[in-house]
Amino acid sequence: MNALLDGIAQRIGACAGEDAGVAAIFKFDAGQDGVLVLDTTAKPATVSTSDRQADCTMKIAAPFLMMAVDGRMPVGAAFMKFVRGVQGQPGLAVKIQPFLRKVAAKGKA
Amino acid sequence: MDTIAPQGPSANTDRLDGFVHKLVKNVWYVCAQAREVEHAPLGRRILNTPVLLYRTNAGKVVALHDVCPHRYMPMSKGRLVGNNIRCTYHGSLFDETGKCVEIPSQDTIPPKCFLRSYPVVERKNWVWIWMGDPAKADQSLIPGENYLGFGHEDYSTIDHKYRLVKGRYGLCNENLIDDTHISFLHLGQFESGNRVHTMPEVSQEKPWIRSRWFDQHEKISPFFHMLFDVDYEIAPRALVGHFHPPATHVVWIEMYNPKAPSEKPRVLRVALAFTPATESTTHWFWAESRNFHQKDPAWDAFATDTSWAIQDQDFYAIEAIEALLQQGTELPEEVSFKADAGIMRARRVMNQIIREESGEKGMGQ
Repeated sequence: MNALLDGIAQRIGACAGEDAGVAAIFKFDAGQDGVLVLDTTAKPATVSTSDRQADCTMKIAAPFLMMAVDGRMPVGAAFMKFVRGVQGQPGLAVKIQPFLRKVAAKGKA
Repeated sequence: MDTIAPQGPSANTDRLDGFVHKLVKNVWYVCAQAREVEHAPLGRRILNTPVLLYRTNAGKVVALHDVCPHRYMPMSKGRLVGNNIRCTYHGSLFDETGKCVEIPSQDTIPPKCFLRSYPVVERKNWVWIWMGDPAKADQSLIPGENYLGFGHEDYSTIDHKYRLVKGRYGLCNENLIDDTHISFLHLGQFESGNRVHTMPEVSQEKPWIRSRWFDQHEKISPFFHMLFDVDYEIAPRALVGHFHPPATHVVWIEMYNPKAPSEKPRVLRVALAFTPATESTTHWFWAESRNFHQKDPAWDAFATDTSWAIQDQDFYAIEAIEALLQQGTELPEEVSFKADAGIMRARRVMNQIIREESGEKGMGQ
């Protein structure tokens, strides 16, 4: 497993009990580094590095995804600058952002 | 790269560092977001003039000169007493019209002891001020609220915070009018990089200068896939800009569904107001409205994050140019390209406005 993706998974996993506000399967495709799959249809949400079909797939490099979830950059700005492709339902990429802001806020606290 | 020929005798002198960026007084400027003005003093420099803003108990916005005529203490450092403002230095008290109503150390009030009052109008999200001749302050000159996107039933609006930019307002204006920078300064965020190869239609429809780009086969960027919530790869798209000289812009993007071209487009509408604080600094106000995902907090937050990220890139360019202009180094003759047609037209209009107001002839004329 990629250490950076593992760190992102741990940060997201720490907020799994939070209300994600949207029920769907999200995949962050980090290319050669692998994937991160966030399933908010499960209660609590699950996060995994095993590939699977998703409702929304975002291509984003692991260092940039980390910048979003550790609060170094506003989530929306990180998505705007660093998401290089969206497949599936693009609106879901916006709907998951409030949850990722919670992850970032918890990481900062 | 193609260049455009000078447009008459003033063209070479309407330089970035020249006449066209002088300040204009007889115009409505945005001085604050409505939510910024509370029942508490707010000091803001407008056209080199310190202005005090506050809201009365009845909710009316007051704009007064922010200088106590006694010993020049900024009145915005004072405190409100009911609807009056008391100077924090020696206690002089002025009412909402600027009239001095009390001097604690004496019974008489000198006739020159008053604060100048400025016409001010609150229209939905923004507060507008008139710094020039009050007799000319015609409220019908303020752009309509629906046109700006405020309060329109089909739109929801996000009123972003304002920023003080270290650049002259002319640089801010020209950043907005010039869309070819999108392909470079904002690389990859709005479009695929082809914008620079298409020319805008530019026309003057008093009171604004209009530019419109339309691309039938625009490749949609990942950012726009998310923001507009559309999944098509290519779609007809228009970018329309209205510049209301000297300092207000309305810009909107129309995203059409390629499978249903007659369907109402998704529209993102941005109103911007650039109010000179000084000759080299500008209050930058920005409000964004959209006719999709209305009042959806996830989209509001995304739009807020991204609009500041985009504008940070604009500020980077504007402030770098301003810093250079401030160094006073000898500059090469400015060159303009064909795509600068909108800017050149705006400069001619600005030159005319400044000339009319000052009674001064434009440089080179």
